[in-house]
Amino acid sequence: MPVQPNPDEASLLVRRALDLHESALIAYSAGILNGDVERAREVVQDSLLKLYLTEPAKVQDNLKAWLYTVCRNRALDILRKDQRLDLGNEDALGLAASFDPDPSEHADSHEMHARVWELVEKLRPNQREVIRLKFMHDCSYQEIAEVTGLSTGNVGFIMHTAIKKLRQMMQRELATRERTPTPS
Amino acid sequence: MNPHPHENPDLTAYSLGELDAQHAAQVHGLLRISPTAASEMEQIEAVAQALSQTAPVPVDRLHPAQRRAVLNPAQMPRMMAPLMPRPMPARRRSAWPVLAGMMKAAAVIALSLAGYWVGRHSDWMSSAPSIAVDDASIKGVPSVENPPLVAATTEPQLELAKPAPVEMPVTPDEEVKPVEIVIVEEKAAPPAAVEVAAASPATDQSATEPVVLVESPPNTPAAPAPVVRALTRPAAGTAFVSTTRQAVSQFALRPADIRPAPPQPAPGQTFAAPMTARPEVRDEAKPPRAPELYIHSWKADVAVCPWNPAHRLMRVVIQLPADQPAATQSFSYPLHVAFDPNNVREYRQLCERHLPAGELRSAGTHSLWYEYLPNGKSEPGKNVATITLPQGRFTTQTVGPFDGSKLSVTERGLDWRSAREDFIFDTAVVGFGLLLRGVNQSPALNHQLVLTLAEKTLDSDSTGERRRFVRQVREAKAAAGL
Repeated sequence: MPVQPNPDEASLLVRRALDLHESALIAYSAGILNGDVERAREVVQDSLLKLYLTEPAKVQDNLKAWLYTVCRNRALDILRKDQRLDLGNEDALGLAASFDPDPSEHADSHEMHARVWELVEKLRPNQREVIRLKFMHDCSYQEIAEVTGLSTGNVGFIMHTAIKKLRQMMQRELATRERTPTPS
Repeated sequence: MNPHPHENPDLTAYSLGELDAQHAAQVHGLLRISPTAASEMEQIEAVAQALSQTAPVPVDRLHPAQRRAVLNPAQMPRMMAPLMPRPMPARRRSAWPVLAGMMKAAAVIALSLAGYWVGRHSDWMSSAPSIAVDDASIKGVPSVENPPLVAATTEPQLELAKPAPVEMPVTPDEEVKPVEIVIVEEKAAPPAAVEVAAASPATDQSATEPVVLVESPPNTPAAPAPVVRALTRPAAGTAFVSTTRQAVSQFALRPADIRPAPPQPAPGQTFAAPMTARPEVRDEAKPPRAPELYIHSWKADVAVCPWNPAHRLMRVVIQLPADQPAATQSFSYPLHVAFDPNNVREYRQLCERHLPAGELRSAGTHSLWYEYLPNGKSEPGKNVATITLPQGRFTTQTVGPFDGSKLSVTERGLDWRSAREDFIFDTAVVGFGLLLRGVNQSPALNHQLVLTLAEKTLDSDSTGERRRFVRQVREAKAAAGL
């Protein structure tokens, strides 16, 4: 006979998850779902309903990682059903290699900082995901490892590679702008 | 730690505060002695700072309706339903050793039985000549004038008559090829194999004569019906399936099976061909599209199972016109039988039967049989199952279900005695099939119950099919020594 979770306790946990992580989970799911916020909302709703059916003692200690994991799996399921899951990300690599900024756009390094999240979109999916989890959702390496199913060492390596790649892209863009003559 | 600063993930982890004290001290020491590492660290921190300072702030929230559903899930039973029947992992782990042991024991028993069966049959095949010579009944008969002929002709009869626990029909094509056949009229109506067994000791009468094999006259009811070509397939798995684990039974419906067989030309007969048929050219890039499947009607009957009153029998009958494109091609169509887990605890498919169309312009029939155990107290009006045939189209709007391609089956609390005669007769046929296949079922299912069921339907036996069935069941019962 399966043990049913205490509804009061589960409700409190769901309310806590809503208060703390609602918007962050929607943003994270939308990032996986290619920016589809409506489907991201459905993913978060499903995940919170699943949380309601789960025994609170099993998840309340690592609620954040649990929520991100469930949302990630649900979003990936949707992508697989749509057959839009792109694990190789060859297109994104091509875009990153052939990135050519608008010459009419002038920006200093301060503006480049503002554009760094646009460059994040050109990273590989796994790099993009660890960057988002770290800097948008404030997850530790351990939490990222739990969410993505990777080892902590692997997360560190992907993070290092992603930051190095971002740095190269920023330097290349800055160099391109410096070579471009400024209209007087 | 990787000594090369460019390939050292610890530098990134250090700048993000992810290293433990020991590793952080090592990186701190490296930064003091290596200007390259210090420069690398500055660049990493610059990117990390840019990412942290300009990270977008999530602002999207759930819609009010979604928020209400999450905070009050008890008010959303339709949304909760798909999530309820999830299996509990801990329970599955605890049951696995028991299941594994049972499976091993079943495998050992099955192998033993198979070995016994093979050994027994190999004895029949290998010892047949010695039985013909050394058997006491053969020794007791007077000597014959032409021993080689007698030995050669009596062997097949002894093989058939002695060891068979279940009656096997004797056909002249298989058994009497080496000998001459004389067909005689059947006086009474004993089984053919029994007649052969009785005749075999009397080989002294036929020492110089050809062997006499009794065969029913072709116009007697015992002959199989030549027109109807019934293709009955037993279910692949006969064990009960819990609806919490698998609520949907899916299989393929092949309309080509219900088309009557084309007439075969007589041997040696040839037809003039004015022109050769052109081979059909298919576009390899595009797979051929399955034609739409047309259905005359379909219906479902539910009644109490005669051999297990706690169970129910469900029959689904689909009428398919034979003169449709789908019946001429080898496409198959998915048919789903989704049992309601709230009202059905477990189920199993008993058999599947095709009845081809009698002629081209009529309809063939496809029947399905299920046995299920109701969940709790069975009450009339409860939904039992929903049957869907996604690509099915009805030829007439006034026949069959009107909700697209969906058929809902409801519990009516009908006793099998009150069911229609064709349902009762088909129940008898299904029960006989279970007996022959040795499927696990209630001990109440036996030859006598099958006979009781079938004999109740003899009043409306227009084709004689039911009487033939009753006779065959009686013969099988006698052959089994019951």
